Amino acid sequence: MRAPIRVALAALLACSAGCATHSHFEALSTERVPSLGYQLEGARRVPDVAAEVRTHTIFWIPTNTHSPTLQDAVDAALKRGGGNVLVDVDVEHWWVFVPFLYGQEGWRVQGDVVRTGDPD
Amino acid sequence: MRNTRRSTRGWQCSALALVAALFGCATDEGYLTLASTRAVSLDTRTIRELDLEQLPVVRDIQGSHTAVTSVLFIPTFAGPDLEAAVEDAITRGHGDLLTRARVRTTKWWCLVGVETLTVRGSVIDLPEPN
Repeated sequence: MRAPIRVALAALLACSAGCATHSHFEALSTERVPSLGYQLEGARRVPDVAAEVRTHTIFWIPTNTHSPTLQDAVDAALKRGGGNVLVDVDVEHWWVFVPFLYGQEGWRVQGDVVRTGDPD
Repeated sequence: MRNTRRSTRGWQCSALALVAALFGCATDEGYLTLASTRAVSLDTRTIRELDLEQLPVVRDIQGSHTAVTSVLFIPTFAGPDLEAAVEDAITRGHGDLLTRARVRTTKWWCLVGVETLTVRGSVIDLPEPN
């Protein structure tokens, strides 16, 4: 392999980056619900519901016109579990970037989805 | 005369390089109606005796967490923590629970890459359990 190509590949690898952060929440919601006073006891609870939203960028061309957001991930989990509040939630946000070639960014949420009624 | 022109051109090139190295963007990560990092009771049965209208609410509180993501284009493999940003807002609002929160990410690069997660919303203070 020619030296300039080797140097270019080494530079690309050196500038490649990635990062993932993890958070934990007792409760999360994006739905119009009361802040307090959920009927949690006896409510329908779907455990360990996970949802993930991500976008790829290949040669500067994104595969999605809308960047994935935390709200999208929470919305997807609530829809999948058929509820309106996520409890005991793990949130992960990550991105990977290889200059000029590839990029990826996404959010992942996992928790118990609860369908609560209105407060008494 | 020639030296003055060279000096001016040098400053112009430096300014252009600085502008080229300075980039930033802000992303709206969405709206959360409820975010809680603390083990607070949300159940109607356990908060039945609370007067919800009388609970202290501090509005328009901002919390954030910042991380340096690169130094001289070398990645640090670090990123801002959402939990820390929400906890910062709750602590600033002297409460237990964040509601109606707008989440935003701000990134900028000028030799050093910096990323900040910001949450802005209302903080509710719950009374201590008996």
